[in-house]
Amino acid sequence: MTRNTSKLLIFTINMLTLLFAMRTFTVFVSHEDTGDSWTEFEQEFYCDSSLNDLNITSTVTDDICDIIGDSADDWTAVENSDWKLSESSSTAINFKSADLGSSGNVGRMNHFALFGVIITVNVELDTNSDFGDSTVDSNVYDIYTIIRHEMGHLPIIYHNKHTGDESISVMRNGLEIGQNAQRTISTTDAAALASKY
Amino acid sequence: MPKEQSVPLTLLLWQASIDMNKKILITLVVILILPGLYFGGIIPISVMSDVYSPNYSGEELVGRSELIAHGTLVSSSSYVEWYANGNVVVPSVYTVWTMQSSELFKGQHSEIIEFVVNGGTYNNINQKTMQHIELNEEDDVIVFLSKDTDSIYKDNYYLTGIQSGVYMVKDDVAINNYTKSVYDVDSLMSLN
Repeated sequence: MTRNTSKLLIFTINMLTLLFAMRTFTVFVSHEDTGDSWTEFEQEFYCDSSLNDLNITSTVTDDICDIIGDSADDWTAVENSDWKLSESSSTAINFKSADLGSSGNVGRMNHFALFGVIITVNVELDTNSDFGDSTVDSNVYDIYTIIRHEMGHLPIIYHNKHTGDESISVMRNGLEIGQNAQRTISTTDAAALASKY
Repeated sequence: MPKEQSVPLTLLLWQASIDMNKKILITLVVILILPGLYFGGIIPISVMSDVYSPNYSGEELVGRSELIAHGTLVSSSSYVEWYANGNVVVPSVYTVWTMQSSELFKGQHSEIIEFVVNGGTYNNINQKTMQHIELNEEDDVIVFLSKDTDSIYKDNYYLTGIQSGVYMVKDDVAINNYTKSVYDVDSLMSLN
């Protein structure tokens, strides 16, 4: 074995040791906040064709991708923040549908990170649930609120609790079927975004 | 006597790559080891999830659930599923809880019941949910379970309404820590 090959092997072993150490650190560090973040404050979202499988009542006349786009504009318009979301024609932050269980989730968002850097996100809406405009139909989940809420999690904003404006906040935790729509990006929500990006 | 200078690592790697045999070695290291690190459990991966799930009442839980049981959580284990999100293959971690059943209120009798929740730690992958369901071994619980084979939970039971579907039992009082619902165990079961 040549000297250079030996050095290369030693380098590889050192890197593996470092990665093992980082793995251990990651597993045992906090359970509340991952500390993950984006490296860029301009991100793109993508409307997957599977969104057509959602049960959206006729109370909603807007196209689902237009609703997502309007929500992105609202978050982009937050003052004192550089966070920007725009639509992409190829896969990016993916909005799609999935069978989340007929008595399970209505929607969910997963962000995926390597070494604390967010790589990709998907937002899934349940194909079993009825979505619509809850201001005119009490038997649906308000699609406008759910999209805005999940979009608020993209820059890693957490739920708005006990801040004084949680009752009107789109980042309030939980939404009942037929519940009055909470589509407002509240002062607390906006401040949370501005503090990050 | 001149002091010996250390050779920068990048230069060493460059020298190694000049030789074709070493080039092949480096290529093999990259091809074989990097995916192994990613899928095999070394590179630290984190997943954070937020879910929207309905807050079902006791009546709704009873009506919607296939299986309702009272018992003690015995153990848990996690598994991972990989799926494509755009151009990236990403993991999703699930944790299977095993429960020793003491009373069955609805469904097919079984002393050992298993159900799955989203999230947990599997090797290098740590998936957390913003609505964390705090479950521990030896917890005395009543669980409301559903099953949809076409769903993300496949053949596993899952908690009806996710956070809504598990009640901690203490002194014959059942409490859902997420919805803050409180029932006497007898009155909760009389809804069946």
